[in-house]
Amino acid sequence: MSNATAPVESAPESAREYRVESASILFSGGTDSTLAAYEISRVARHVTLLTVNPGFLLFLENSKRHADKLREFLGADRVDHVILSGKDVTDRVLFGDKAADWKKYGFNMTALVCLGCRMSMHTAALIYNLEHGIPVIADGSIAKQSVIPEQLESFIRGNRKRLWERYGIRHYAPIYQEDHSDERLDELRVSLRPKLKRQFILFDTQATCPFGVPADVYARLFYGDLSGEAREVNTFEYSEERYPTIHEYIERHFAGREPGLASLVERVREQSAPLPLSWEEIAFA
Amino acid sequence: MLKLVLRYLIAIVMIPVGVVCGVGGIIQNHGRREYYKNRRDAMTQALATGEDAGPCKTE
Repeated sequence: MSNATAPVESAPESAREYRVESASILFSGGTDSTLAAYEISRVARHVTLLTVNPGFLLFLENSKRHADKLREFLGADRVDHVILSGKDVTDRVLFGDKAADWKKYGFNMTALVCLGCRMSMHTAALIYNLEHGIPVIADGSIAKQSVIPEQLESFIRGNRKRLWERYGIRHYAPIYQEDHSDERLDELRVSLRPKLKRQFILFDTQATCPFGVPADVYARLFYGDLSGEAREVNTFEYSEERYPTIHEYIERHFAGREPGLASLVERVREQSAPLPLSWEEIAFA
Repeated sequence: MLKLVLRYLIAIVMIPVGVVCGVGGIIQNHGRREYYKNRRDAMTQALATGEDAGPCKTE
């Protein structure tokens, strides 16, 4: 994958010119989000790892393993790890109208739950970014997992327009073309054990989601070519139906607060505006 | 150790759930393929122009 936009790696810390002061990343603690955090740290002076708990994850503390390793590797002053509660927003976005969703999407909801959950996480992270003036967010989406609705390129691009850009924040998927994030982490000496992707049950660095297991089986085995047009169409329609709820949630969250939503959006927009267009290259290199 | 056992238990119970739902999904998606084809065209246009693809109705 291309890393053309990264600053000179051998430059001493004080001599580096970062493109942005701060960035956040949706961080599960797995190898993809850990590598994405590393990539973002090459262009942002400070990185906040955001782990969102939708309320039903088990062993969430596993995410601290790679967070601690990143703090050790990049410097504790450059990396923060924050676990955000996303239960309230997940209850509205994912579980808001379960009966209607199951009626419309049927068995495909087995995989679409992850999309609803991811959109809830994006909402919680967006609020965090606005409140803390962070103009950039990234995640560890990869093309190899694009059978999973929330990692489809069409969804990522659409979500940028309909969510992130609306609130002045730039979203990146810096490792989208990476197939072996665990091996890259081995090379960088950031991983805790070699070839971690092969040890997902024996040694896990991220939370366990009970819905995630059937969702993964469904998406990988039945929701690819076998489903025809269903996956793309379902992903588009399901996400489009969520945006009004998400916008309403964000507006309600900031209602009556000072500074207000418009001021916070303006603040991050001003910070993200000078970023060169070449940043797009690390989105879908 | 308890965590490991729990993770295995979740996998043992939930993998068959995914397979059963998957078989149901194949049958369901096959029955709706015309609907998906029509919606796909509207979706592609909406993504290209940024316009709304219209109401997302259940067939």
